[in-house]
Amino acid sequence: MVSDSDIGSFKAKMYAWAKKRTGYLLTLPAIIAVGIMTVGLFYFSLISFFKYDIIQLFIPEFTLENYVRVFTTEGVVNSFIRTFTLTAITCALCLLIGIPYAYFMVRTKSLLLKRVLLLMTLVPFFIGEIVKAYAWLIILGEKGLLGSVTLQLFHTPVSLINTPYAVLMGLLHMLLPMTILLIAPSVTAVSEYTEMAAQNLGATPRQCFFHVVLPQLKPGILGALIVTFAIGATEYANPDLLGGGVFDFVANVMYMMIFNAVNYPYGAAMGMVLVITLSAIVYIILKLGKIGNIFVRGR
Amino acid sequence: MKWYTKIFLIGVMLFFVLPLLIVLICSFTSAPRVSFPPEGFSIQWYFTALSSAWFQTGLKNSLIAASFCTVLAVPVGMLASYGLLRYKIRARNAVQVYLLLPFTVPLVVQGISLLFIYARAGMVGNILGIGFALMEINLPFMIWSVSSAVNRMDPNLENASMSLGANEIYTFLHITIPALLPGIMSGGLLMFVLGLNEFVTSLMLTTIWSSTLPISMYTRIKTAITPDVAAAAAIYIVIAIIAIIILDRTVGIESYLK
Repeated sequence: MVSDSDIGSFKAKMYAWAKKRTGYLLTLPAIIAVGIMTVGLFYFSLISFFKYDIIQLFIPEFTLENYVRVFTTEGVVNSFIRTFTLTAITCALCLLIGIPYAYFMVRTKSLLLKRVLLLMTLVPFFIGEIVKAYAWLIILGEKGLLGSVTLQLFHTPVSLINTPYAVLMGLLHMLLPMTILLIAPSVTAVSEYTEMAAQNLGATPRQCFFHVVLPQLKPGILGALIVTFAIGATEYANPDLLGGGVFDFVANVMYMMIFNAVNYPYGAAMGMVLVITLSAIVYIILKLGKIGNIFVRGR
Repeated sequence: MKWYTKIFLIGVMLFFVLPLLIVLICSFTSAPRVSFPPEGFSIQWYFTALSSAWFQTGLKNSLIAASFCTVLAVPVGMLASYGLLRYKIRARNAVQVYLLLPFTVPLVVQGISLLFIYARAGMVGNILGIGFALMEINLPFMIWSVSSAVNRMDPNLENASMSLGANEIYTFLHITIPALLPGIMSGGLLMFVLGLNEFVTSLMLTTIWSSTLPISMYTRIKTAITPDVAAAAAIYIVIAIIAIIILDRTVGIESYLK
């Protein structure tokens, strides 16, 4: 027989056990949610080493053939080069425009200007990539704004659709608001007194910005760089709609390989190369920046 | 402010909202295809969109998926960020890096990874499955916004509550959650709007019958040139503006600067 006091002490033990591990228990649901994707990702990585088969889709036999094909197929290598080049250009532009914009937005004395600048950033941030890409289709198309302006000026309508410039515009419209919103909090964290001190000691506003403010923004800038680079380099909708098949990113080639050619192992290998290259880039940015974590800014 | 600063700021703001304004203007065309400047004025394409099957099914599925995503994300994200910041966790850095996976693993890859799991579970095309996927890929946003609220909260509030005799659960429900509410609200709203707008992951997981609104719009852009897509896009712009107004009324948009 189990007595009441046994149950009581069992309960107390459970309580003590749970209390000691509250932190772990609280994070458990999130760990499981991400875990489900991670299990799928593990399966995905496994398939990239399997043999392709027309009938069975893949045979569980270890091979490196898929990876060799990724690195030796010119079209695929070019899609990697294209993806990382255009994303790097976009991210550079994002920082070039985003840092001063965030700085003015936080530092302006006018509450109205601050709110307007923030509002204009939030509107595109809250709108999905399909709507934004559609907007650029209208602007850059022959029948759109660019077309009608060039028709007036040069008597021939110009269209930028299906060019790298269109993809760049789409990416910039998507990533610039994120850059600004990720950098703004670190501008807020910079004490205005350090700027005043620098100016009291004779620094020009330019010197003050580059030597006092910018170094303090480093964690925010690198965090923004990582997030925007990771999103840009894996983009699917913008190259598809604005590049029209002539400026495919890795994600587009991979999607075709998996859903149109139904070659899971080859598509998975492409995906794994993308994941590993991106992780390496993120790791390098973190190491070069000498920052440990960008995620949860604890005390 | 210098003149070139003004031009710079105005230029960036125009870059942000001009494309969206043009979509809004084009949605009121009376011509059967989109052009700018639009020909004529009518609201017929709104009626066309609202009464067509692709829009109705898409909107219904998107609303279900985004709601389910938010309902899951609020408790999951809130507990995780609270646990990470307020309790001793030995592998805290590792857990944080792990919880950032949804941001670092490409969305296409995440979509296909989840597709493998769903295929095993017989859940391909399940609208709640899409809702779960939306929660998983955007979870860091939720954790982020609650974390900043946890960081801003004075831990003495909780200590006071407990030294007055309340237990941990009572304190959590009556002191902690109300104090974190702004962060929870803005995070939840963000999850909902991002869920309504999500495209790539949903593209991998939906079937024709479970396609969400962004997928339906994408298919529509690829096959037809009629301005009913502009009307649907205009509805998204209105949703975004409403969300920002709600955000401003509840927590204030300035919270994005902190």
